[in-house]
Amino acid sequence: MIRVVTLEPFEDADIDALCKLLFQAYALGCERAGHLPLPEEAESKEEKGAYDAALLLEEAESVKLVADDKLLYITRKKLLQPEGPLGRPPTFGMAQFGGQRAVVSTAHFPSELEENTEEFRKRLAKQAVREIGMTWQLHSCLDPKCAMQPSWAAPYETHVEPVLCNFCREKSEETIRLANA
Amino acid sequence: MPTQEQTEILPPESAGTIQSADELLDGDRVVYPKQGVCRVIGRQAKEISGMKLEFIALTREEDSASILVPVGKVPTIGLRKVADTTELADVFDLLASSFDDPELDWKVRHRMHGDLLSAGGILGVAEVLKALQGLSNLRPLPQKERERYDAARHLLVNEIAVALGVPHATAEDYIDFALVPPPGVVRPASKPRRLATLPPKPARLAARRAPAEEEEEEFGAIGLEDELDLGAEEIPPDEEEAEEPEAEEEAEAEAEEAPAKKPRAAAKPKAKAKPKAAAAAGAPGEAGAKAPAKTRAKAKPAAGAAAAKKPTAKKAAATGTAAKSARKPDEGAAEEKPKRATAASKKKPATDDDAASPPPARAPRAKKPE
Repeated sequence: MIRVVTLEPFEDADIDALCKLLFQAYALGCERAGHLPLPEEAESKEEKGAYDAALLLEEAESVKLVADDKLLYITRKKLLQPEGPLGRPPTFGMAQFGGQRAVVSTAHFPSELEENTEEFRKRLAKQAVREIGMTWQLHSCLDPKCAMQPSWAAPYETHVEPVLCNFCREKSEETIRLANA
Repeated sequence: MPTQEQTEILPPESAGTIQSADELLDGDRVVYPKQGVCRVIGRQAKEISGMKLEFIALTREEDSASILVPVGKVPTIGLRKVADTTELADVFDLLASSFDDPELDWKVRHRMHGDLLSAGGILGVAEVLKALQGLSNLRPLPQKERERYDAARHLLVNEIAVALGVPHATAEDYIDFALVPPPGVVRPASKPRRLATLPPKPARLAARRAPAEEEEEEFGAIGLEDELDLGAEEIPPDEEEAEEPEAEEEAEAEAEEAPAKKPRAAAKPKAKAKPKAAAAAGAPGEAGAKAPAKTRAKAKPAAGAAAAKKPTAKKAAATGTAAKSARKPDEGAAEEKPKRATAASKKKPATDDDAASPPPARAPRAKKPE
């Protein structure tokens, strides 16, 4: 089961659409699990108003989960990651690789995408599919139509459907099956 | 693919390879080729088939799988320390470099990538990732290569995460950031500073060399070495074939214009066919029976075709040397060899023997329609 928790108020219709699209992508139950506050401890020291993504995942409050459940946080706040060898990559979301928690931020979404629209819902769902996929140990994908493409890649905006390619779908199904077993 | 010239050969020690089991201490983190980052637990003694063996016990960090490595095998399996900052800099430099032409021959690519992954170096894993990413820009990857891409990516993400002390998702983003720069980020086209080096494979090289040497010896023993142009310095058969018709035409033209003229360089290729014809006529059974199928196929265009094209007249034209070579094939071959050593020497003026022989003017022409 995928449980969606909002860290800021979002339109009900958007979250319902997100749950529906996540269910379609993974064939796994998805439900809205309420609203929780942003953890103050995760606030970034480098940039005001931004949050450290890894710390947010660790510090955010949780809802009741069972072993195979996944927890998805949704926020509008900007997320940051430590600077890498080639610079700081834009952070659209983050997940505990092979773990339970993931977070998606709408801060880097294109400005023309307005909430409560079909495009926004699909974009949000696509990002959520990617982050949830990371919790099932899916890596970034080469297929331009796959949701596991890097979030800033050009095809990510042109192919809006939140779907996985065959390879990623099979891999995720296998992981889910093994988890259930 | 980057050329071999760009590679820098490093001794295994500098690449962080574990040379002895004594270097491993409990709690150390090491990288096992194709398995990923492991932690040393300690040493274990086990009795297997009545033999007491000592093992280094490792546990794979990713899923806590146990790995036992015999102490004696430690230096040979490619176990190495986790990449340091210098190696990581090289890895990201490679990932961010401009895409070169990917290897399009799948067999070469498959073997090369397999070798790179088996060698276990982080740079080799990055090279596989980069090459497959480059290939996927041209066309979708086949299933096996897609799996290999995923495996390489998994290994690289794990090691970078451990080496930099960041979460796996962050390491994944660092790799994506290097491979696929976001819009607005422009990186100058650059070649990678360093590429992975593969350890030599003496066994495989020896296995490859052995049949070639045997074949050469075999041809030498049956006296075909000279006919089959096995000499390393000799020009390739394609060039030889390409040259022959021209030379023939030239010779024929000259013979028509001035039949009394002394035959020049053009007469040489014809002299070349003498021993072949002689061998074919003299002892066809012997050569045909001894030579393997491959040899026969190779000999066909050289000896067979030449003999078929200009059967009698050319033989007659080459009476002097042909007779000699027919009498003493080994001597004839020995005499011929230095003459045909290079393309340049081929175009030397004809010898006195050749000059003394009657010019092969009309006879081949008359026979050609056959």
